Amino acid sequence: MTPAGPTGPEAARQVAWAWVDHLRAGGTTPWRDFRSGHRTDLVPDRAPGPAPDRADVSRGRLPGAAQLELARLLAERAANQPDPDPDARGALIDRALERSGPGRGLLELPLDLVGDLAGNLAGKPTDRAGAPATDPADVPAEELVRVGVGLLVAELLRAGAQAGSNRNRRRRPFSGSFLLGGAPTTTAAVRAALADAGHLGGGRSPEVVLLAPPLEQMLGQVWSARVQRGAPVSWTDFVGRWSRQVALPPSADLSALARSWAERVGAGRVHVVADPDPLRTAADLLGIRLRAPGRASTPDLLPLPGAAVDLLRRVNQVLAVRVPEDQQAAFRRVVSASWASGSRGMPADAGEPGIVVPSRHRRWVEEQSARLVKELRRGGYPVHGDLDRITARQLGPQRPRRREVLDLVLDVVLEVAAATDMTGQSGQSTQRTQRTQRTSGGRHG
Amino acid sequence: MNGPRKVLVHVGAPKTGTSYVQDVLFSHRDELAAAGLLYPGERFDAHFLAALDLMELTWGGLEREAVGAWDRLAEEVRAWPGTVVLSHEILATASRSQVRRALASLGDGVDVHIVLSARDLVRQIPAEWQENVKHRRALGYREFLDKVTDPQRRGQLASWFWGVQEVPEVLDRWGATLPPQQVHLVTVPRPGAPRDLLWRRFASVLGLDPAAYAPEVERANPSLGVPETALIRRLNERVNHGVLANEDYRRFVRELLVHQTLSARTGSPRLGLPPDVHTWAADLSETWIAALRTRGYDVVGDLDELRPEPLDHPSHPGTFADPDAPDEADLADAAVETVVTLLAESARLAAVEGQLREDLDAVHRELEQTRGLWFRVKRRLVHTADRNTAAAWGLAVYRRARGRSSRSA
Repeated sequence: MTPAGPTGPEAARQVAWAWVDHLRAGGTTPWRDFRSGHRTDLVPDRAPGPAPDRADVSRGRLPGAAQLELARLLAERAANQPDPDPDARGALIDRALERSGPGRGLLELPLDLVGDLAGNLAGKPTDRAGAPATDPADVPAEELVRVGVGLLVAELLRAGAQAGSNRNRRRRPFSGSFLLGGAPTTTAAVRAALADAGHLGGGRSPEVVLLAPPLEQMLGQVWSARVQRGAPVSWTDFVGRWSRQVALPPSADLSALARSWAERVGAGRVHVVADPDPLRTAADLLGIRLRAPGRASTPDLLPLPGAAVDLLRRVNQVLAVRVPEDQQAAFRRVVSASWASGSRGMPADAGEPGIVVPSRHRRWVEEQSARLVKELRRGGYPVHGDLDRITARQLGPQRPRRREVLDLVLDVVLEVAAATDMTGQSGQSTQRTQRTQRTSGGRHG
Repeated sequence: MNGPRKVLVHVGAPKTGTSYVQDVLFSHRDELAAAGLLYPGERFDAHFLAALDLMELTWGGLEREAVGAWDRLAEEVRAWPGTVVLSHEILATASRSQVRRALASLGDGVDVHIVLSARDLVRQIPAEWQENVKHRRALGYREFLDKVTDPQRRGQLASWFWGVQEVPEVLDRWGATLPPQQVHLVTVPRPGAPRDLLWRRFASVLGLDPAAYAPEVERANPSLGVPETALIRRLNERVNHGVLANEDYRRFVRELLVHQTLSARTGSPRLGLPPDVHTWAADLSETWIAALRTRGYDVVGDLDELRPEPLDHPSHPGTFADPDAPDEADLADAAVETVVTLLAESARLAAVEGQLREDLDAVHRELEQTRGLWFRVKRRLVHTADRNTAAAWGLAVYRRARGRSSRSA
């Protein structure tokens, strides 16, 4: 039953174009399977509407292997979503096929039309120009992430900026004077919960509460916070840079923070919270009754896992060259909120961002955490919990897993594209913004 | 100007005299504009920023200035009735869809011409490694050679290198939709050719009188020697990862040490290719020359100039000087010269700082004198108000006005 493989380059190209149409129609068959079976029977009778730019099509130039694999993965992931709109899906696949990867990466990888032949050619670089022909399944995940991030930024720009939902919280009368510091995303979560209860903090002579998770986790949170504010730095570069400095990042250097505040309010009013439930402990020591969970507002910094932070820092790189600085935050919010929405969200005390310091910096983090514990003990501050928790070693990968980042890129691309299509394209982004604001409580809650 | 508008896009390659051409075009842009040729952009690096924008490239923070830069440049192109030249060497690495976006943005009814200047691989490969070193990379020479000769071209370094240096592929990406006679390949003359020959070739493509727009100062841009490059590479190992910010690296290492100091040391051995890579590069060059002969491009110069000189040619540096195992005495000599340069710069900056401190002290003193005078005037008024009803009333009015002002602020 299985017909013979293509006998010439033109026949191979025809099969490849049939595969492209298969993908545009929502097909998910890998190229190797499609080619080996001459699966022209999978080519739909009617391909979705014309692509936005079919210049290459008219010249017969196939999309690159990375673009094709990204399109296939998008189709695969989209197949699990409810109520797909075939035309919108086809248009998204077209945009994926057309989009170059931003910044530095691999050269455009031509599709390996005939399998083994390309393998032979790869051993003879002088026989041909250009990058080696590649089976889409062999495109490195890093390259797929790069091309996917380019597509994601294009989709974000197509959707338009999403306005922030700054919620004016009402301060309770006679609410206490306090100040939170330490691990940034934990602090943001605690601050949001206390604010929901009407306690906004501040004041002239505050009770200072320093939240002290394990240092390794705290460093991850500092990285996450910087990325959420626009930094493009990777986790390994971030740790590498700080490991060469004398000091820790300011928000992780709890002994310096405690010392500084003790000079202003006295050591007895600087509390170090080193237990697994910082919100409950902070609320108890400040005498604040928390509201029932369910309608918590979104903190300024979200507790993102390493893969989401890594995606965001890659998005930051592209936004830096595509969008004026003062408008970037709105686009970042869409990406991070996409993580926080739905079932992907994680509780704030789950040890985010869930990555550990690379082994070559292990000694540095151990020395720094030991120093923190020693200096905090010596300072005589009230401690809530066990200070030794700061030195606790974390479990997890030493860098975000590329496959997880790729999965996340695909999800966010589909989500942003679907939201844009649903609201009638980018021209109506303002309406989308307003609706998103109205529903933001439920979406992020 | 009659006939269709013409846009020449000079897309590279790096290390082929591109900066030289850009210098000439920018420094003569007013005369050129008067003659009907536009070299757009207000600042010297406008085309570089446009290329960053087009390719969504980060570049040590400079990309923040590049937002919208390509569209701004394209707008100038579309508005100009005559000939326009765009030029930047990193454009060579643009992908096909980026090329499409770029060409479409230049407007309808325009004759687009692509210009690529090219030099033989045996000179380009060492130059690219030196360029890498000048941009903070700490990669050894052999490691670099292994990466660029890997047929799979894994990783960013090999991708970038071939993206900008693979002449047939670059021209295919940029010129695929153009008639071949609108694709111009300018070959870089061999060493020993007349100094102005390359400029004359460029000028003929751009339609300029080479004598009218020759640079006023002979531009010398000698490459680094082997020990000097090895020194900078070792320095990179120590100043990367947060020790020296990008802007400080650009100012002190690349500009002060490399361009102003170490480039002038012309007596040290020059960098070449080891014999095995030389042979590999020569073989690859033959396939390029053969492919380019069939394309019908407008070759300005001679395709044979892309063929490397053989190893036994008199122009060859002779024994290969390995920058991964440099002569340590030569390297120490170069290092001492950099220390002297940095000491002189430190002394100069200390003098500037001292002068600024003196200026600041003088300003503080003047400010104190002014404050003292105003304080004395107010005290006198207060004392007068104790004895004089009108003065007391005036002071009360002043205080109320100041209070309102403070509140509203």
